[in-house]
Amino acid sequence: MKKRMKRILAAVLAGTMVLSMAACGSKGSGEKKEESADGGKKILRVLNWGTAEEAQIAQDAIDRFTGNHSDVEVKQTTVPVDSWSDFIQKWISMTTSGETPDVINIGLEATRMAVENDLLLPLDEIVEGDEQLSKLKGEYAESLLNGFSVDGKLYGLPNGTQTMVMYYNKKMFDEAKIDYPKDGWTWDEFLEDAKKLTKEDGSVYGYGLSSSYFQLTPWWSTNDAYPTTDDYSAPDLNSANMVESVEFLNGLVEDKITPDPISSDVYSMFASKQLAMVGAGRWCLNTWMDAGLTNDDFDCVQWPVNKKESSVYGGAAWCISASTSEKELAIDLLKELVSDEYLKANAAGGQQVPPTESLATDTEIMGTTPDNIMGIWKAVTIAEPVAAPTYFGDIEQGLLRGLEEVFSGEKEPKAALDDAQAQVESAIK
Amino acid sequence: MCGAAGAVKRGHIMKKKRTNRREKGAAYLFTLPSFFGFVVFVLIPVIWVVIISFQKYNVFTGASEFVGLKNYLSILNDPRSISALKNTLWYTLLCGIGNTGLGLVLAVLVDDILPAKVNVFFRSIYFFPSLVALTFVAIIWQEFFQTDAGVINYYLGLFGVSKVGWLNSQNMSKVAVLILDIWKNVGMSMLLILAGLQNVDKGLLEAAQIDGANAFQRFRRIIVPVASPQIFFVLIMNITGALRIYESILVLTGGGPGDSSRSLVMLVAEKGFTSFDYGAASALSILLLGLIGIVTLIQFAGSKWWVHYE
Repeated sequence: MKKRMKRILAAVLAGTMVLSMAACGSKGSGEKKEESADGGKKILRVLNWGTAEEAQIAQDAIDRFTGNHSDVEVKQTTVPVDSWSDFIQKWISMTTSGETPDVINIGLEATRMAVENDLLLPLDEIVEGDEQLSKLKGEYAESLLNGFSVDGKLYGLPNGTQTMVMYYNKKMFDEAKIDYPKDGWTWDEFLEDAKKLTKEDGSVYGYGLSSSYFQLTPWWSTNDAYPTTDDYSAPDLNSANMVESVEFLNGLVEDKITPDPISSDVYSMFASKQLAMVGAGRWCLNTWMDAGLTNDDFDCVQWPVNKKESSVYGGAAWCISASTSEKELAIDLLKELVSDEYLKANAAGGQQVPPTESLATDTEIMGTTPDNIMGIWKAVTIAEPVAAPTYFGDIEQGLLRGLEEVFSGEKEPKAALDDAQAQVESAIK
Repeated sequence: MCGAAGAVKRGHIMKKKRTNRREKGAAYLFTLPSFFGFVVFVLIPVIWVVIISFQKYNVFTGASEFVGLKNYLSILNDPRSISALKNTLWYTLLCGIGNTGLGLVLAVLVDDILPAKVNVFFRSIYFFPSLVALTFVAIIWQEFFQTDAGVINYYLGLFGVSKVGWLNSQNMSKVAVLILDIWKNVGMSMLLILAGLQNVDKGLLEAAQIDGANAFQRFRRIIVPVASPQIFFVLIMNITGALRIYESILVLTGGGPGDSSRSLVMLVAEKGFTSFDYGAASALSILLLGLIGIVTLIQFAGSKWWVHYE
C-alpha cells in the first residue's frame, strides 16, 4: 500500500512538474497563429495602460478597426501602471502564458528596455510605405520621435506626451508685490521669489518640490545635467552639474521654502493654496479646475534656467510586437490607434498633451486655462526625454533613494549621488 | 472449535484491516487536493527558485547560465542586503511581539470584563482594520503621517511637540510602519487569542480570586498558561508574517527614505521585478526562507518552556 501510494504521489509530482515546465516553455507560443473560438476569427491582442476612460477611447478605435475587419477579434488588456518595470513584467506574463500582445501602448520609460530585449518591431519601413503614417510622422515634434527611436530606428508612434512647466499662484505673487515670472527666468530669480512667497508661520511655501523621477528631471536638464551618459550605456548620477542641482534642491528643503518633499502631496497643496509655485504638466489641470482654480488664480511659465532652457518630456506610443504573427493586421490596427480621431479623443481626456503641434496648440482641445496653456507645447519642443535607459528601474530607484537620503539629512548631496552611482553600476554590471 | 474461533478472529482482523485501509484511503483522498495545491503552488516554485538562484536568468528570453554561488555571494556582500536584514529583524521583533502582546491584552480586555454588548462593540472595532484592504487606507495614513500638513503632527503641535518626520526621517520611518502594521493586524491576533481564552475555566479564576490572587497573578498564572497554545500559534504567525513584511512598507514609505525602512522581501521584489535579476532575487528568497526556518525552529524549541498542551 505504501509503495503504491508513493508511486501515485511520484506520478502526481512528475505530472505537475511536466505541466509547469510546459507552462514555462510556452514562451513564444504567441508566434503561432491564433483563432477565436467563435467562427474562427483571427485574434489580435492589444496591451494598453492608463485609466478606464483611456481604455474606452482605445476600444472605440478598436471597434472602428473591427468594423472594417469582420474576420478579426481584438482583445484589449489595459493595466494601471505604477512603475514601468511592472508594465514590462505584465507583458512578459502575457507572453509566457501564450497571449503575446501584437500591439502595445508603451511609455517612453520602457522603450529602450523593450528594444534591448527584441520585443518591438522597427517601424521605419512601415511608416515610409504608408501615406497616412508618413504624413503623421511629419507632424510629430522631433524631440518626441527621438524619444521613441533607438539607434536611429523608430519603434513607436506617439499618442500623447507629458512635460513640465512651472505653475504659479497669481494672487500670491500680487499679494507679495512680485512681478509674474517670464520665460527665461533664472534659478536665482526663482529662489528669490520663492523665499519672498514663503510665510514664516508655515501656512504657505514658496515652492512645492515633488521627489519623483520625472518631476525632478527639469532641475537636471536646465542645469545641463543628465542622469545617464549620452549613449545611455551607463549612469552619470554624480556629475558636477547633477551634484550642483541636488545641492540647490537641498537648499530649498533646508531653508523650508518647500514642504517636506518625501511625504507631501504638492499638487493638493497647490490646489488648496498652500504653495505659491509647483512644477507639473497638463495632468493636474482638470483636478485644479475642479478644485475651483481659474485663470485669475494661476498661470504657467517655462522652467527657470541655470545653464540652458529646457524641461522634460515623457509620453506613450503605440508599437508593434516583434513576435506578432499578424503583422499586416497589426499595422492596420496601429493606424487606427494613431488616427486623428483617436488622438483628439485621447487629448480631450485632459490628461495627456497631444503629440502633434496642430492638436497641442488647438484651444478647443487644450482649453484656455491657464492663460499660457500654449506654453506646454513649447516645453515639449525644448525638453529632454526623461532618462530611460534599459536599466530604467535601477536608475530611477537608485537616484530617488539617494535624494531621500539627502532630503532626510542623512547624507550630503555628493556622497549620496556617489553611492547611488555605485549602486546602479553594481546592479547593471 | 478452536479452529473456527481462530477463523472468526482472523476474519475480524481482516475486516478491521480492510476498514483501516479504506479509512486510510479516504484520508489520503481528502488530503489530495491540498497536497496537489501544495505541490503546484509551493513545492515546485520553491524547487524552481532554488535552481534559478544558481543561475543568471534572462526573463525576456528564458536563457539561463549556471553561475554557482555568485548570486549568493553578491547578496551577502551587498550592504543593502545587510541593511534590509537589520530592518527585517527590527520589524520581526517589534511587529511580532507588538501584535501578539497587544492582541493578548485586547483579547483579555474584551473577553468578559465589560458587559457583553460593549465587548462585542469593541471586538468589532479592533477587528475592523483586518477587514480593510491596506492599499485603500494607506492614503489616509500617508495624510496622517505627512510632516508639514499631517494630522498627527497637527495634534502633536497643539501639545507643543515639534514636527515629527514620520515618513522623511530615517529613524522614524520604521516606527510609522510599525504603527500601521499593528493597527492593521492586531485585531486578528486578538480574535485568535480570544478563542483560546474560551478554554479558561471561569471557576478556576473565581477560586484564585477567592484565594487572594490579584488580576495580574490570575493573568500570569492561569490565563496565559491555559491559552498558551493559541498564543504560541499567534506568535508564530506574527513572527513569520513580520519576517515577510512587505505591504505595510510598500504603501507607506516605499522602503525609504533611502533604505531605512526596506525589508528583505521588498529587496527581493526590487531585484526580481525592477532590476529583472531573477537569480539574485531567488538567492535572497532562499536565504530568507532559511532565516524563517531557523527563527521558527528556535520558537518551537523555546515553546516547551511555556506552552502547555493538554
